[in-house]
Amino acid sequence: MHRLQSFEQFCGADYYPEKDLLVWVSDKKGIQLKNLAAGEQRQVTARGRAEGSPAFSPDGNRLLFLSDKGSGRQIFVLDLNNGTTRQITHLFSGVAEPLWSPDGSRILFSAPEEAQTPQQDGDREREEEDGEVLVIEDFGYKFDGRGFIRPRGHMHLWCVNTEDGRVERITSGPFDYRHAVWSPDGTQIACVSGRYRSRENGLALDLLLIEAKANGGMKRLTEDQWAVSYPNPIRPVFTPDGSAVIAGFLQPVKEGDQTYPDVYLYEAALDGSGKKQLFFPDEKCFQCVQFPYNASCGRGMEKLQITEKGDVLFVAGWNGQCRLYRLKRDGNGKAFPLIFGKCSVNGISSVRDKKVLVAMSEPAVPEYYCVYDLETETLSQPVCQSAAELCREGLLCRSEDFFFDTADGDSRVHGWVMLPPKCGEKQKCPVILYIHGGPHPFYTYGFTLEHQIYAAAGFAVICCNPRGSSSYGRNHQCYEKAYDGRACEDILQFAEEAVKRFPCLDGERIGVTGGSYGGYMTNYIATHSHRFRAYVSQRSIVNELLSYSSSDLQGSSRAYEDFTEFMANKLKNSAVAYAERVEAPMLILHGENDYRCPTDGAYQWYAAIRDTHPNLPAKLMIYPDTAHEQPEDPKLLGDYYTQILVWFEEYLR
Amino acid sequence: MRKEADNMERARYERCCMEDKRTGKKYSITLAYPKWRDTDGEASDKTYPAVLLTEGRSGGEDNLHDLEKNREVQTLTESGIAVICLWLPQNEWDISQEEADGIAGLMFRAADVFRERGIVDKSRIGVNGRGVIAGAMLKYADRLRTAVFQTPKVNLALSYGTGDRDSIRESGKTSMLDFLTERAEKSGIAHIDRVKIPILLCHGYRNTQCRFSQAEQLFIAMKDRNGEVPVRLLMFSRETASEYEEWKLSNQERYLREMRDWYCRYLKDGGEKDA
Repeated sequence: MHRLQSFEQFCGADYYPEKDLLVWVSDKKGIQLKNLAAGEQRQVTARGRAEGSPAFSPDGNRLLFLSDKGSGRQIFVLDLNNGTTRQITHLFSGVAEPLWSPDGSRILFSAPEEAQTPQQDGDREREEEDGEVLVIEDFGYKFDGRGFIRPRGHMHLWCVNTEDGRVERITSGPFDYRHAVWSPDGTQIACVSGRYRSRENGLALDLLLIEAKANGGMKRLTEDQWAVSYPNPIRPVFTPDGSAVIAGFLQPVKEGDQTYPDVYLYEAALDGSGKKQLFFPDEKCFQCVQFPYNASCGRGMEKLQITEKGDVLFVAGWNGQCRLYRLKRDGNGKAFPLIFGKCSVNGISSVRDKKVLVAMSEPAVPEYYCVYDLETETLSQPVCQSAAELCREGLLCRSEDFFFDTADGDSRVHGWVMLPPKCGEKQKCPVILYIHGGPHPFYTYGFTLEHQIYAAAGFAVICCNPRGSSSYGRNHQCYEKAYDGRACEDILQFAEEAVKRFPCLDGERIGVTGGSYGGYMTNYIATHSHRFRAYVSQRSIVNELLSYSSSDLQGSSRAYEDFTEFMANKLKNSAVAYAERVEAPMLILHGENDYRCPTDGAYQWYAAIRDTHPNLPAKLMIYPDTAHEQPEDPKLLGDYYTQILVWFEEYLR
Repeated sequence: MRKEADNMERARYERCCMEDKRTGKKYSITLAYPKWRDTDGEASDKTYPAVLLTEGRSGGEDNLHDLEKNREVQTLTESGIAVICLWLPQNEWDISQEEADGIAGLMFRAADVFRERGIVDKSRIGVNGRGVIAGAMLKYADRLRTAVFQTPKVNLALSYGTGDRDSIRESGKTSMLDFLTERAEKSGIAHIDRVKIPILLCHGYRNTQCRFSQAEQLFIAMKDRNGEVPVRLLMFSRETASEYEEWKLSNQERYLREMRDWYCRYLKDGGEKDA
């Protein structure tokens, strides 16, 4: 586990081809700046504890970054010519998402509405007292990872002049404004916001055009479709001539249809004349957005960029792959894959001088960056590799993938098997069946540290994309199939296929785990099958009646005339209602601040299992300061994985 | 002597006794109303809006001294609102939903009694409920003008395992689905569709006896199904106790202030607080 705590992860990067300068963020080494040609590398720092979000200025002479030296994260700028660093913002709240203006004179960023309000004597005490009581009168009062949203806690767009540090707030009001981008002439900003929508559906967002100044005018560019933000945000881009904005949109969800709709790219004209779809699904590219569950790369980078010529670059999923696509400006709506195969691309930098930095990973290779030359259509060797020492030691396990037809002939399921070292026919190994969350995300050819840890401990790790998973087409992605038992059948069938194809897997010693939807499916399998020896349920959905009101993605009961009937139906679909059927040991892991799958569900699940099976091993662990995810703190994360390993060691060996 | 004694009181009081015919239990009920009735400036036939609430007390005997100290009661009477207080023989958190349902019915009968005595205006009745009493009152929402619920318990299918210590083994059921469905059906939230009255909810976020998800359930169900009806939820982010009297002083004051303003707005025509 000590290797886990020292495992290096990247959190963003930028590349300036003219000077061959690469900057990236390592969670262990901070911001690193390297001249690729000369090989010189150094740390960029303002001596804060947490620093990141580096970006080169348009002329390449300066580098901005965020540092928490002082109060909250503020913007700093490093002059690359003389080496001096200046603090540019001095706000009372931290800032995020800094973005250079096209002429480099200003920086756009996000911060709460109250960021500029100094605190008077007694304010902190009053604020703490006032802040203790939150008044809730509408939907959308909390969001996982963000917590309860205070009245002045909405994120707004601000602008700072890099010369004199003058700050002005561009937006205001009880709404968030996100994923902002400058127009080419620097006079306007495009962003997405729910400003014109009711709070009942947090996914309903529009593309807005705002004048880049305080109290500037605002225009709603789109209305009929929803701009994509959750769960995979796509920052819009302007066309080079500034006449239109390109963004990802999805069709509004019809009542009762919960399949996440396809996301396509549209070009919205600024003159209000409407928008046009840029490409149509074909055999090379199904849709724009992707939900890779384990791409493990591209944090802090974008999914959509535009070249100087106006060609569009975007990342998308296809048959379990995470690919980089190009859509030519003068093309006929066809998207061509530039990078594809048994690797993952999940982040791209700005395009400069016909080059773009891409973030990639592979099942046995942690995140690395390469430079893609758009003119020659060639990919460089990696210019930067995370966890390089680990890679050199050759201890990372590879995986093999395969497809099989579902028993009912409806679709094909894609799965992976990662074998531990020393696993052979004479020494069969126990198996951990890992189910992804979602249900729409998909496993891909990416590096998964957690799987490597379990493999290193001697467990085979198997995972698949059952029905409900995306990137394989609408039929496979159907939401209903994820919940009506067909996904469960796929997973059970996959386990049998894996054991059949890999005789070194011990089919009698399989444990099941998964988080969120994966946790739901773990619970579902535990109550509908006696196939497996032990379970670990992570941040799972246990009681749909609880999720209806206490999840940040609240449901609706309006399809039912009678609320009692609604409750009965929700309970019927809830794992907790079948607790008496659990017959194998169950470990329950949950975050204390999980607002997606409420923590109360974990308490109820544990209580129900103990109540119905007083002698069955069951354990509940609640992790502090943890939202709907695994713990971020390395020590807590180490404990989290240890708990899972110890549980499976106990009941699978 | 009598006049001096009157001037020392903070409210006036009347009493009655009610019997729950289903259980045979008897309950003492006290009406507290503004003390300036029958004195200078206030007509002796004035009727008041009234709030129904319960007070848990060992033995269930009414105790005027306790009512004099009860800040909810005094806040309301000083604002020109009467309070009909039913004395519970035990803590509110120890009664079952069935018992709460019976108690809720008795309180309306008591309101009738005090109306007949010419003190209470039955067309302006509100309720102040905690725990399962709050859930029980949802059934009578069509007889109320408004409600304030502090730490409500409205869905027993969610309180199982998250605060309640009930066990399926004691229920006689073997199917958890049946067990939870029955709990849901007898919960107050089952009557949500008839709740067309403004509701103020107050709940401590860190309460482990009656989880915040109970208040959320009622809040979201109201917004979802009765969206035109005002509902306001105050989350006291650091409070753990089920009873506001154990909260931090500033939060107690905030609760009392919000409660008073809510009742004045919805029970007193014109919304004016009496001086």
